Amino acid sequence: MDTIAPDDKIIKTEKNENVQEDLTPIRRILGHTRNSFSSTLICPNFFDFSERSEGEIIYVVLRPHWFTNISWILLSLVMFLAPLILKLLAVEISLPGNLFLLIIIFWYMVTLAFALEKFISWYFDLSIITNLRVIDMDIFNLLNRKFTEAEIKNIQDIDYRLAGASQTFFNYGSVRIETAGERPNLVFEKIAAPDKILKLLQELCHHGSFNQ
Amino acid sequence: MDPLTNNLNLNNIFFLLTKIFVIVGGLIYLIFALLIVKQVKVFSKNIRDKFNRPIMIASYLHLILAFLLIFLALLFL
Repeated sequence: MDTIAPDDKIIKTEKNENVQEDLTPIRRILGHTRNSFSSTLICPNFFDFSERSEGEIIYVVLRPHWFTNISWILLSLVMFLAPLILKLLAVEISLPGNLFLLIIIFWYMVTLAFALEKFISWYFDLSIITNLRVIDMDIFNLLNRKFTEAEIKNIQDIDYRLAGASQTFFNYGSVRIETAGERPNLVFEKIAAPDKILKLLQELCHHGSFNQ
Repeated sequence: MDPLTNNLNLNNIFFLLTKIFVIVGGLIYLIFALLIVKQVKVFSKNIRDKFNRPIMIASYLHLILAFLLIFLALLFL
C-alpha cells in the first residue's frame, strides 16, 4: 500500500525538466510507493502543485493513513444497506408509492454525498515535503480548509506521536513540526510511518537538501 | 369533527410535510453538490494528480443526480 509504481507516468513540467537529484537517500528511508492511491507518495513524478517554485523537488506527498477511511466506509455501507435491512425485517412503512420511492432515492443520494465528501476530504488532505519547505493542506470539511507552510531552514524541532490502539497497530500518527519565531507550527495528522518521516525531516534539516 | 375526517386531515398534513421536506432537502442537496464541484475544481487547479479527472467527473455526475432528484420530486409529488 505504501510503496511507487516504477512505471508511473511522468508529468514533465518546465519547473522540473532541468532538475536532477539523487533521490536514493529518500527511498532508503521511506522505500517505494506501489500505487498512486497510496497514502505516502515517495518522489512522485505524476504529482504537482501550483505553488511549487522553479527547481523545487517534491520528496514526499502524504495523505492520512488508509485506516482513517475505514469508519466512513463502514458507515456508508451501513447507510447503503439500511433500506434493505428494514425490508428484510419487514418494517411496514405506509406511504404512497411515489413518495416512498423518492425518499429511498433521496436516502441513497445522501449516502453517496457523504461518501464522496469524505473521499474528497481525504484525497486533498495533503502534507508535502520538498527540498525547500514543508506544506500542510488541511481539509476539515468542504467549507473549512487551511494551508500552512514552513521553510526547511526554519524548522527547529520535530516530534511524532502515536496515540491509541489503531495507530500503534497500523503505525500511523501525527508529526509536529515546530518552526522558528512566530511562524505557525505544522502538524501532519494521521500519516503513515511517522518515525520515517521524522527521520527524513531530520536529515533534511541537517543536510539542507539531498543533492549536496 | 368526526374521528375519520380528523384522521384524513392528519394524513394530508403528514404528506404535505413530507413533500416539503423532500423538496427543501433536494434544494439543500443541490447546493451541496454545487459546492463539491466548486471545491474539486479549486483543488484540481492547485494540485495535479492522477485521479483529478475521475474525481471531477464524479462530482459532475453527482451534480446531475442532484438536479434529477429535484426533477423527480417535482414530477412525482
